[in-house]
Order: sequence, then C-alpha cells, then structure tokens
Amino acid sequence: MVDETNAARTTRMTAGEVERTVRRLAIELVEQLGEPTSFVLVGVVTGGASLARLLADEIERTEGVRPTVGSVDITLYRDDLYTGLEKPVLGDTELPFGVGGAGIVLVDDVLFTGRTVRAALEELWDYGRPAWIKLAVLVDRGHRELPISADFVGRRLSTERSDRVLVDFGGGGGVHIVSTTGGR
Amino acid sequence: MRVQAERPVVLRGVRWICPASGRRGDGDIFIVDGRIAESRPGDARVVDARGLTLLPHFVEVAAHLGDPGYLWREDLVSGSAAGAMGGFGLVVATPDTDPVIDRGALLGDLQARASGVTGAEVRFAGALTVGLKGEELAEIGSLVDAGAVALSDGGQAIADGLVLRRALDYSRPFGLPVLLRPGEPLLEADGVVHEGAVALEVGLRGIPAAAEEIGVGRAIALARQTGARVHLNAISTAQSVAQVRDARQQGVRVTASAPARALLLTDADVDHSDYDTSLRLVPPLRPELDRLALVDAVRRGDICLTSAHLPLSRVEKEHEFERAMPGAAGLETAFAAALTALDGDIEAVGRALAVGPAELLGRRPRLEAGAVANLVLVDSEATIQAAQPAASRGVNEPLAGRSLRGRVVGTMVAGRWVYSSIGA
Amino acid sequence: MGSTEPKRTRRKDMLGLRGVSRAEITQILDTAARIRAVNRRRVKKVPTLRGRTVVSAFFENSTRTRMSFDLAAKRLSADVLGFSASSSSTRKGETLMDTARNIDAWRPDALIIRHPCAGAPHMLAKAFPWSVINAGDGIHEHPTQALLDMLTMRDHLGNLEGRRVAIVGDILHSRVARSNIFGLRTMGAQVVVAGPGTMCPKQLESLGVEVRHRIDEVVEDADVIMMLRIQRERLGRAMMTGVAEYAGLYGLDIDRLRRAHPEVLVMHPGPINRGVEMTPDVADGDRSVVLEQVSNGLAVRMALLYLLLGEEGGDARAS
Repeated sequence: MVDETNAARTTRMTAGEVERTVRRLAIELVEQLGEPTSFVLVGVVTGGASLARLLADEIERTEGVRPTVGSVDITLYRDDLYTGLEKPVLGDTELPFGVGGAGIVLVDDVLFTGRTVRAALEELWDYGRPAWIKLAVLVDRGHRELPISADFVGRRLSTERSDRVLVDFGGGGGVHIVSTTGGR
Repeated sequence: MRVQAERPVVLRGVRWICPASGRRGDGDIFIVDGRIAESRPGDARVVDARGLTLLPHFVEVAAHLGDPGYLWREDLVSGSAAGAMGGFGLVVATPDTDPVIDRGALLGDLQARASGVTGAEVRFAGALTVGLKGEELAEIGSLVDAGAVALSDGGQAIADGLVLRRALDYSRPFGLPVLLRPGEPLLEADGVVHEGAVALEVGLRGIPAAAEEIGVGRAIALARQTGARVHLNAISTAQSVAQVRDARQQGVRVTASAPARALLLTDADVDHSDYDTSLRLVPPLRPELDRLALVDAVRRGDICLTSAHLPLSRVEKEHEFERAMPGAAGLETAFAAALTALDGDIEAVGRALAVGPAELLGRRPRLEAGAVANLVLVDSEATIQAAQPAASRGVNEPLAGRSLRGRVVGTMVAGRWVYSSIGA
Repeated sequence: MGSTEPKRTRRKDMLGLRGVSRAEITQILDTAARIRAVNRRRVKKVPTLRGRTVVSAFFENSTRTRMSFDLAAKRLSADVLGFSASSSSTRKGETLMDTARNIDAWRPDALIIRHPCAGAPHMLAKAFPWSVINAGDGIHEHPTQALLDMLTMRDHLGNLEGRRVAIVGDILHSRVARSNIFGLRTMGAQVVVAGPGTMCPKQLESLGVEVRHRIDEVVEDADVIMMLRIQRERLGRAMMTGVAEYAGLYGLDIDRLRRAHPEVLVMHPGPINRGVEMTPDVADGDRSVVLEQVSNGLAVRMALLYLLLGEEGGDARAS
C-alpha cells in the first residue's frame, strides 16, 4: 500500500476539458467507424461504463442515432485477484446485443498496464466471436505491461508508476493525479 | 495392609485435617514403622511442611486401567503412578477390560502383578455379569476369593431389572459394595451430550437427564428391596443428588459419587470448545444448575468424588465427536479440580475424595496415633497449570490449559512416599 | 470505489451460519445474485479459480448437492476431485483424520464435505490449512442450503427483515432447519416451526423460534412455507405414526395453501415426497419455487468458492 500522507493532488484536465475531449472522441468514432448502428460501445465497469454512456449521448446528439451501449465487469477475469487486494464486489456485465459478428468499441476511462483490457477481451470472447474490437480511452497514462494500445485516445498524460489517476465524470469533475513523488 | 520398615518421617509444622472425625490441628506429625506415632522419633527425615496441609490420601474406587487388553491406554504401572501423582494412595481398577475381569483366576493374576507397583496401591473390582453383558451372573464368589474389593457393572448399565436384582441378591452376603452406572440404555439411545439448549445449538443428539434419574431411582429401589450396598458411579444431575439424599435419609444403603471435573465443566463447554472430544463423556456434562447442585452436594457431604479416570490414546480421541470413545483422564487433576470448584474448602474435598471412597471399601481413614500412615500432603494455596497427563498414558485431559488451585506435594502409603515433589 | 464496499472476507471456512454476521450473509447473497449471470451465458465458465484444486468428499449419499458443488467449482475453472466414501471406508479402519491426511497430500485449496457426524467439518478445519465447506454434518448445519433458501426468498420478497418464515417437519433432526433458523434470525426474519411432538418439541424455543403443532397453525400468516422432507431413513424408533396421519396434520395441500397469503412462497430442500410433505399439485404449483432453489444453489456455491478462495484462501503452503 502506498503511503499517501504526503501526497500531492494535481488537476490535469478540468471538467470543461474533459467535456470537450469527449465530444472530440465521439466525432472521431463516427468519422472512422461510420454509422452509429454499425458498432456498439461496451464500457468497462465502472469508469469505462460512464464514459461509454457519455459517448453514446454525444453521438446521439450530433448524429440523431444512439449506438447500443453495454458494460462488462471484469472482476472474475482479473489476473491480480491473488495479490492481496480487497475482494472486489461483482458488478454487472450486460451485453444487450449479439456478440458474435459485432463490431465492438471497448471503452475505458484510463489505460494503464493493459491488464484490464486483456481481461475484458477474454470475457467478451466467452460471449461470442466479435467481428472486430477497437479500444477507446479518455486517458492513456503509459506504463504498459502488455502489447496493447488504444485506437482512440482522449489525452496522453505522463505519470509516475505509483501515481493514482482519478477520473471524475460528474459536474465538478475532471482528471486528477494523486502523486506521492512530489507531484508534477 | 503393608506395614514396612522405613526411616521415620517428621512432617514439621503441618496443618492436618481428619475429615472422618472432624478433628484438625497444626504442628508436627510423626510417622514410624508405617503408622502415625505419638512421640517424636529419633533419626527421622524431617520434611518442612509449613504452609502445607495433611489429609488421608485419596481413594479412587473406579479407574479404567487398561490391563488386560488396552495397554496403550494405561497399564498397572502407569495407572499406579498417575494415581500417586494425584494424591491417591489406592486405585481400584474397573473390570471393563479385554477380557473382562469376570473370573477369579484373572483377577488373582492381576492382583499378583499389581503387588509390584510402586505408586498407589492397585486393587480390582470384579464384574457382576459375564463379559459385562448384563445377562448371566459372573462367578462372584471366586472373584471375592481372589481379592476383589468391589463388584461393578463396568459402566455398562444392566438393562434387565431382574438380572440386576439377582446380581444384588447374590452379591450381598459377600459384603462388597456394588458399583453401578445409573442409566437407562434404551432411553439414552444414541445421545452424546446432555439433552438441552446446547444440544440444539450444536446439532448433537441428547441424553435426557431422565435416563440417569430413572437409573438412580431403580438402583435405590432395588437397594432398598435387597438390602444391598449400592454405590452410584457416577451421577451428574441435581435431581439425582436429591434422590440419593432422600434415600439415605430413609436409611437405604446407597452412596454416590460425581466426577471431579463435573464440578467445573458444563455442557456449554462442549459448545465453546468446538466439539473437543475430551469433553465427550459419560455421564455427559450438564448445565450450570446441575453443576452447582453437585458442588453443593459435595460441600454438604452428601456425595463423594471420583476422578472418573478413563485414559485414551490420540487415535481413540481423534474422531468425530459422536464417534470418539467417551471418557477423560482425571487422576492427576481431580484434587485441583475439586478444590477449585469448592473455593478452597479442603475439609469437604478431603471428605469427598479420601474418606467417602475409603469407607465405601471398608477402610477407616483416620489421622490419629496408631493409624496406618496413608496420607497426602497438599499445598492448598498453590496455583497449577493443568496439563495433559504426565504419568498416565492418556492424552485426553479436558482441563488442560486451565489454572487450578491446589497441588499435591506428596503421597504416602503405609509410611512410604509413593510420590513426592519435594525430595522427601 | 466507495466506502460502502464490504471488507475482504477473512473467513477460511464455511462451517455453518451460526455466528455469521448479517453483513457477511448479505455479501454472500449479493455475490451469488451477480455471479448467476455466468450460468445463463453461452460460455458458462469464468477463469477465476483456474489452477485451484477443490476436493469434494461425500460420506453420505447425495447426488444433487454433490453435483451442484462440483459444477460450481468447474464453472469457476477449478480442478475438482470427487471422493465418494461411503461408510465402507470407515469399516476398513480408516478414520476421517486418516482420510483427510491423505487428501492433504494432494494440497487441495478447498474441501467440501458432507458427513453423518456433527462437528466433522470443524475437526478438519482446525487441523488443516485449506478451506472447508460444510455440505451437511449430521443433524447440525447445512449452510449452503440455507443461503440458497434465503437468496430465493430475497428474490421474491426483497428484504428479509420482519418476514415470517414457517418451517414444517422434523425440525429436531434437520440440518436444513437449523441453518435456516440461524441465518434467518440473523437477517431479522421471524421463524415459526411446526411438526409432531417427537420432531418439534417445545424446547426448540431456546433457538429463538416460535413452536406450534399443526401446519394449520402456521400457514395463514407466513410469507414463506418451507416443508422438510420426512426422512424415514433417519428416523429412530417410535418417531411418527403413519404417512397418512402425517400428511393429514403436517402436510401441505391445496386447501391449506389457499388459506395462506396469495403471494406465499412454497419451498422444499428436495427431493420431495409427493403425498407426504406436499401434495403433487402444491409441489408443482405456481407458488412452489423449488426449481429456483436448485439454480440458486449453484450460484450460492459459486459465490462461496469465489469468496473463500482468494488471496488468503486455499492452501497458503502453495505460495
């Protein structure tokens, strides 16, 4: 456990910047993938699920058509269950569409080591064989431990390995870094 | 009684209590030629006994010594040593061995071997029925001739009232006490703990108190009918105590003992110990009200105490609770258990552990000049940490780990120390 | 993640519901409710317990519970070793501890045990480092049964607090009844029991339940009516009169059901003796949730394995 008594909290994106980035991502998705009916958004519980909903709202606002939204909870697929973490509560995996043959945009708030994405991919495969999967994230904070990269990135942030990245999609939200190494 | 030539002993500054006569005193006690002497001997071993208490040694009328057939549990030597450590100068073995001690020749052989033990004196109770099956009478006459000091049902309550009655009739002229386990086997069925609230919580089948009380009632009625001398080994409920008290007031020749550990433990301990098989006992541990009644009965002198010594090996106890053999080792802790439960009332403990059982066997334990020096020296203020037995082979001491009051310092049989922790 | 998350379970074993807190029972039920989604997918398997070893040792006959536990472990990707020892093993002289030592040599992470003696799972849990799950010990407890019963009740009734649950039958010798009594009382429900005097004595009040006699006395104000199987194989001498009398006084038929709440739940741990505890029309009627109990049983057992076998769960010697 990292001692956060002397932690410094820095805001790297304001609520306004997050909002604008979400809008830009939504435009990119439609620009590259085409009709909103040709893909589905699947958010990784819990941060990715919020972002997926926001992206769907934005696409509906600009295109008049809302893509299908689902969620995937990866608790049972994590590879770090045995490393002393608190036993997580199970969330809901809801995939209201046929996974087989679907074009899926996997959505998460922060891309870090890549292990969450790996688990999500494995879980999706247990539901069927998608046509393709692309990855959209709000923040890419580096420190990858697997050969995974995002197709749609909101912002790249450089962080220390021990930093914690907090993403708040609420009204007074934003992206904050809690750093224990003096902050940047 | 063996009275042998030993160097005289002076117990200096000891507090002595003779529960049988009610006399007590402080001062020096002299032991010469195996007896308590009037005057100070020359050339004596002096034992500084200030702060210690002297009583007649304890007597156990029913201990399971596994000879023959269960030598891994105990043998005559280890049982004798365990008794001596616990302050017992005499231990009577129960006949529930393999084969059962139901023939005079077997008892005679055992007694011959027992004469070589160096701890407590070991004697034997003969079986009432062949094989302790409760059907045919054993050869009681030959058992008596071979040296039996009591007759016993060996813990296997005789279910058939007619057989029990005949056994009492037949044995009465021989004058030995008859030890009976008060029970009603069919009613006990497959119960393993006291039938009560605790049994309901832990999901174990219960033995109703009524089963023991029916057994007590039956034994009393038959003792009254036949004139036999019956000793109930052992009772555990308040109702049983009341029945025995009433019967004695009417002049029926019935006595009873309770297990010393039953003065400290209740059925709730089975629950708290998480099915510890050292608490799988017959009679089962009862609720608090019964425990208090037993303590009260000992204090009043209505019942005596037994160690209910039944040593078992790890293999026999390492079982599911209901499959474990019932029984616990107890010779080494009976005194401390009793003294703790009675808050240090040493005279009552002496009456219950030394006098009552001795008189049952026809002895007259007295602390007076001329009496045989069958004594136990105890420290009634010391605290001991009860542990698994040191001398007994058994590994089933349910009081292990508890702090108890009272320590046996030395046990003397006919003037000779058979146990001593002070280099006497 | 907010502060409303339950703490990590420090529990090594699940031996019974007596003494298990409301928070913990809630955690198990919540986990079971979520995890059952796995059982409805195409690929009914998750990799959570991959590489873990679960041994199931059933010393009493049971096909259903055994299969339910085995399947639960398999759906979590654990390796399962089935061990069916009837009492013939004990006749051969091998004690339970001996058997357990042999099992220990395989370094299992969990043992699921059903045994005819109360306290058998406790004896093993004290002696070995792996998790022990009690699948029924004598007449003592059957915690997973009570958990699946409570999950089923919760699905229909919402909160269990203040609910009235009637249990009818041989309460004295029923581990299902005992575990339900402990669990339901912890969750704030009221329990009333009924049955013949030999099977449902007044003394049961010491467990905190109301004791009645005939089933007619309990049907009308119950939210749940749980019928217990009359296990002739377990009954001692002189415990009951005849099947007809039993059904007449203590059995649930359609007339009695009509006097109950229209939304009452009818439950049974299975297998049902149709015509004894329940008439066929009740057993297969629309108030009966017996099949839900079965599927919830699988979910509860998966949830329990998931919660027990984690960082501190299983055999610590393996790390």
